Amino acid sequence: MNVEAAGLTRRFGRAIAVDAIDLNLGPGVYGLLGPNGAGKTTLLRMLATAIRPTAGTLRLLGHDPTDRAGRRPLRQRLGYLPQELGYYPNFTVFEFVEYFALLREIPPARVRSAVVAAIERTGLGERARSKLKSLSGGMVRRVGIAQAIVNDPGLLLLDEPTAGLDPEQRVGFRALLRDIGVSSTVLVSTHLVEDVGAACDRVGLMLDGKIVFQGTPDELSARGQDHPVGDAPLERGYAAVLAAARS
Amino acid sequence: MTRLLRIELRRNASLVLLPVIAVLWLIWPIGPHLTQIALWGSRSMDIQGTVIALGPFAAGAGAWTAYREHRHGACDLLATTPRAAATRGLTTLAASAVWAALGYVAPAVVILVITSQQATWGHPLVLPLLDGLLAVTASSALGFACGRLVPGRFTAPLVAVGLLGLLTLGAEAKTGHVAFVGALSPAYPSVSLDASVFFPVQPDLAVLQCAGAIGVTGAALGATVWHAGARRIGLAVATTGVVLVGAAAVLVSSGHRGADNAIMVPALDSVGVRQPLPYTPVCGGTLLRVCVHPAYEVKLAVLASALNRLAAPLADTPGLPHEIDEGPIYLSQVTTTHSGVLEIPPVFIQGDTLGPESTPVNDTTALAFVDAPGEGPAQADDAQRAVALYLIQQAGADAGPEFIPTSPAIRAAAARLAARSPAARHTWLATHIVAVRAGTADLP
Repeated sequence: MNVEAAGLTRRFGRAIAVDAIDLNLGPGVYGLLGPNGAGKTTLLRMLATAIRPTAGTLRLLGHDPTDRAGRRPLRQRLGYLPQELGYYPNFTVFEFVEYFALLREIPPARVRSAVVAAIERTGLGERARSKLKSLSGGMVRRVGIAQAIVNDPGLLLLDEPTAGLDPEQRVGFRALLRDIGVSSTVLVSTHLVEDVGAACDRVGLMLDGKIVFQGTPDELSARGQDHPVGDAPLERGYAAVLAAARS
Repeated sequence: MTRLLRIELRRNASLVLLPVIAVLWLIWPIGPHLTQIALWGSRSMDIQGTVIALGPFAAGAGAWTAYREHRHGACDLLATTPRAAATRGLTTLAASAVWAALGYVAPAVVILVITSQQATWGHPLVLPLLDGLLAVTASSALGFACGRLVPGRFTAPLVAVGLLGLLTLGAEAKTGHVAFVGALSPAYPSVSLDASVFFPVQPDLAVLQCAGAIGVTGAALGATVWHAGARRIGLAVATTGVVLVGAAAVLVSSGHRGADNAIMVPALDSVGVRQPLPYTPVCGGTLLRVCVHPAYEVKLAVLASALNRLAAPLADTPGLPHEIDEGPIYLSQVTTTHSGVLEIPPVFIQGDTLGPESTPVNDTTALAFVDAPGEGPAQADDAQRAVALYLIQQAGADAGPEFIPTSPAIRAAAARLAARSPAARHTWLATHIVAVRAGTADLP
């Protein structure tokens, strides 16, 4: 298992953002759905080692992220795209991806080829020398994805990766996810259920800090067969699970 | 690390400031100085003095760069990378410091090359130049540390203004032990001008300023590392830096001014009692022989002409000095030796005339022609002031009332003297000058 979480909890003051979650993930693409404020981003930030859990145990890629010695090799094999990508507008696409390649401690001899590959995989080859401030929102998002995959991560965490991408780019991105998911664990937090249906092997649904559903996209669709809300089977399943959890 | 530094160098905020720094160098007073007398010591200290402008810019740029992660919301993403935050921070700091240092070094090299074509005396003073470089680097590091410790939109301008204030206060350090601490400011000349011309160079203050700058850099680096999470090593480095600054402050406070007007620190004094350096003066002039240090030979003609014009009405009168020697800058007043040689402080020239800064020397020289040896303007009586006022006015300059106190009666007497025919005036001066000097003459 690349992700092993038991009783994972995160509090901010009195508020419980993530509430005793158990999660075990191996290679594949895992979609994380849920309404705003469900705790998806907080869960991803804990898995990305950006914040520490308040309680529970966590092992990622065989390492304990709370242990200083284990954190470094873990982070070398981690890819993370936050919901709000912070970027330096004066950096070029190549420099930005190279910057994170160096921060992720890719061996110097491999940095250039890794950067080129990441940029090509995200379809930004022709804009490699462009400054980030000259790119559209969708392109910046792809730069964020490029920096997240530059180290061929064993665990890739993507928070709203398709926000700002046009339909054609989203199709390409789903193919990329499936490709990476063959050997790595990819955890995608999203509002877009069609992304989950097209790219994910498994899906989890969060509400109020808890995972209220785990299964395949087909199993989620089956939950909504008789539910009136939603235009597509997955949407109906999503709405049905939420309604049941709230009742 | 090298590749990371290369990216940081290419995209550092300080790079944007280089044009600003270039403009600063152009408008800096050092520009006009380049056309005047070129002394290696003076030019070296001029270059060091640019820290007062470059330092705040470097600090502001450092603080702005340090705030970058917060400003762009990249903290979360960066926190998930394996490379130590301290390494990342120090690389960014290093890039800022390199550009700040280049902003100092590049124009300094240009000025030194120009000076090498013009210099009349001495050699480049390495310590003041090094001190300036260390101070600019320290400013950049200090700004960066502030930007990391107190990230905010206003940190950069506040740090820049604050540092400018500190440097300015230090540059004003004058006398007394407490004020000597201010002399640690790199904006305070680390070597006195006299020391570079008339005396051996006294390195005490320059050494302490270098130590202070290194200490500030150490404290800033330590704070940056501490903030990045490496608490123990950060605290150790910061403490070492603070101790170094404290030691420099204690040592400079124990100093006193030497004969060459430089701050001497007993604990560092390796030269001991300073004797003026021997030199062969260059002289010129007709009525009065005027002698200057060979370093100032280019101004001899103007100076000799101005002083001879001042003394012209006293030609062939008894007791007139036969020679005027320009001495070191520390001389606070005009003195006359028993052998008829008047020693005066340096006189500044502007083009082919005396500069405005020379008015006090010009006025007190005129007074020295007509009063007792060693007396100043305050001790002169009305007749002495009236004759001195006439000498100054006939030479083409106005006496500043702050240098020679006058009254309506004194001014009227000077006007009466000027109104006489040349022969009558000369007769009066020849007859009365001894009494005037003795303080027993009435107003003309």
